[in-house]
Amino acid sequence: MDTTQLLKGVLDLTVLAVVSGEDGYGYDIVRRLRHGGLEEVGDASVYGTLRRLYAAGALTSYVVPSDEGPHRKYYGITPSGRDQLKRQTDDWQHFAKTVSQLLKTQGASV
Amino acid sequence: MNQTTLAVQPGVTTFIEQVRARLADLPPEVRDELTDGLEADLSELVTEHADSSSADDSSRSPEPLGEISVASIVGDPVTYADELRAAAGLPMRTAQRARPSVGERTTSVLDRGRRRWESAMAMPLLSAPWALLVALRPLWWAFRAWVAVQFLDLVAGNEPHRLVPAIAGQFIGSLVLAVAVVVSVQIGRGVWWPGDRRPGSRALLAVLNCGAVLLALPTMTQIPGFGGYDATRFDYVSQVDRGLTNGGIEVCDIQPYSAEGEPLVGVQLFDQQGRPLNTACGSWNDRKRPWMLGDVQRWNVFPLGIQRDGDSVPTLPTPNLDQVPAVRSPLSESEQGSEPGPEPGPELGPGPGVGAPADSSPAESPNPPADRSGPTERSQGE
Repeated sequence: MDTTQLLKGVLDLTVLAVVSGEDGYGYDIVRRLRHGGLEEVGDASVYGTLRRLYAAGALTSYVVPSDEGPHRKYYGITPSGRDQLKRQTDDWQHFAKTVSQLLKTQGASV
Repeated sequence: MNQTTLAVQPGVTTFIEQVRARLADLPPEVRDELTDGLEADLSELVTEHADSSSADDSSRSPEPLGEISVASIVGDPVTYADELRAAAGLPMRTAQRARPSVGERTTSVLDRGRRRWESAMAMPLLSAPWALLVALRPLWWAFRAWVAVQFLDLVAGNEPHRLVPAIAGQFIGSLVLAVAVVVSVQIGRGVWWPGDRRPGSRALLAVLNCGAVLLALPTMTQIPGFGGYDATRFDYVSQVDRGLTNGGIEVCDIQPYSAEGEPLVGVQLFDQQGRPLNTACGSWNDRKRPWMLGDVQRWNVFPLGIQRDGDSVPTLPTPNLDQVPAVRSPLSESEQGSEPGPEPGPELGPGPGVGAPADSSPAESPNPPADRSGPTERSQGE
C-alpha cells in the first residue's frame, strides 16, 4: 500500500501531536516524526502543514534569532490546536478501530 | 531542541531562491511565511547529512564532503516548492505558471515516449522479444560505434570501404574503431555520459541513437559483401542487355543459310534502323575474330571467324548443319511458283530469316571471300 497517501491524511494529527509535547522548529519536527516511525514523511510536506496549521490558528510561531547563523522559526500549539488534536485523535482512533474491525470480520474469509 | 549555532551551508541560499521563484505567484507575505526559517532548517539538514556521510562510508550519498547539494537530499526545488504549497493548502500554480522551459518540456516528452514504449513492450506478445533485445544492447553499443566511424570515414571521402575503416591506414582505423566502441559502451552503461540525465544530454543521446539507426543501412551497403554495389556484376548484366539474345540466351554468332538451305559466308546484318547487328558476346569471347572493313573491325558479318587454341590463324566455324530445308518467299505463289528452285531475283525483298542478301553467293569454301580481309587477329583495343 502506498503509505504516503495514508500519511497525508494523518499529517495534521501527527504534527499537532509532536508539537503539543514540545515547541519545535521545522526540521526538528520532521526529525521527531521520523523518529516516531513516519520515516517517509517529506520535509516540504511537514513545513507546508505547519504553515497551514498556523494559518488555521492551531499553532503559534516565534522566531529565535541566532548570533551567527540564520534565525529559527519555532512552532507551539495553541488552545485551539489542542482541541483539534483531541478531536482528531478521537476521530483517528474510531476510524482505525472501525477499519481494523472490518478487516478482521470481512478479511477472515480471504 | 538544538541550540547550536548553525552556519548557512553552501547551496542552501540558491535552493531557497529557486523554491521562492517557484512560489512567485503567491502574495509576498504568504511566500515569506512559507520559506521563513527554511534557511536554518535546510542548513541543519545538509550538515546532518554531511556528518552521517563522513561517519559512514557506505552511505548512499556519493558526493564528497562539502559538495552535498540540497537537491540531492530533498529533491529538486520545483518539486519541493510544489509539495510545500500543496501541504500548506495553497492553490497550485495554474495560469500564472510560466510556460515550461525547453528542458522541462524535453524531459516530459522523453519521459512520455519512454512510458509509452515501455507499456507497449509490456504487452504479452512483445515482452519476450523485447527482453531479448534489451539483453542484446551491448551489441548495439558496439554496432553504433562502428556505424559512426564508418560514416565519418565515408564523409571524409575515403575509399574503398572495408569492414574495418582504414582511416590513415589500417592500424589507425582499427584503433579509432576500438576507441569508439569503448566510448559507446561506456555511454551505454551510463558510466561516462550522460550520467546526470539532464534533458539536453538525454535528447542529444536520443538523436545520436536515431542517427545511428538511420545511417546503419546506408553505411552497410557501402561495404562490399554486405549487399554493396558490385561493379563487375552490374557491368556483366548491362553487357548482356546490350547484346543480342534468342530465347533468353546470348547470341554469339550467326550461321546464315540461303533460301535454298545452303550455308552462307560473309553475310552482313543490320537491324531495322540500319545499325550493324551486334552480338555482344561475340566481341567478348576472345576466340571470336571479326571481319574487317579496311582496318575497322566489323562484328556484324557472319559467321564470325574463330581462333581455336593452338591455331595460328583464325578459321570460319563449320556450320552445325550442312544444309537446312529450302524455304519459300512470303510473296505470292503465282510470282514465286510452287517450286522453291528458282533463285530469288534482286527485286525481291528480303525474306524472313537470313536468306536476304541476294548478292552473297553460297559459299563453297569456309574461307572468307578474297576481296575481304576476313577474320583477323582481334585488336586489343576492343
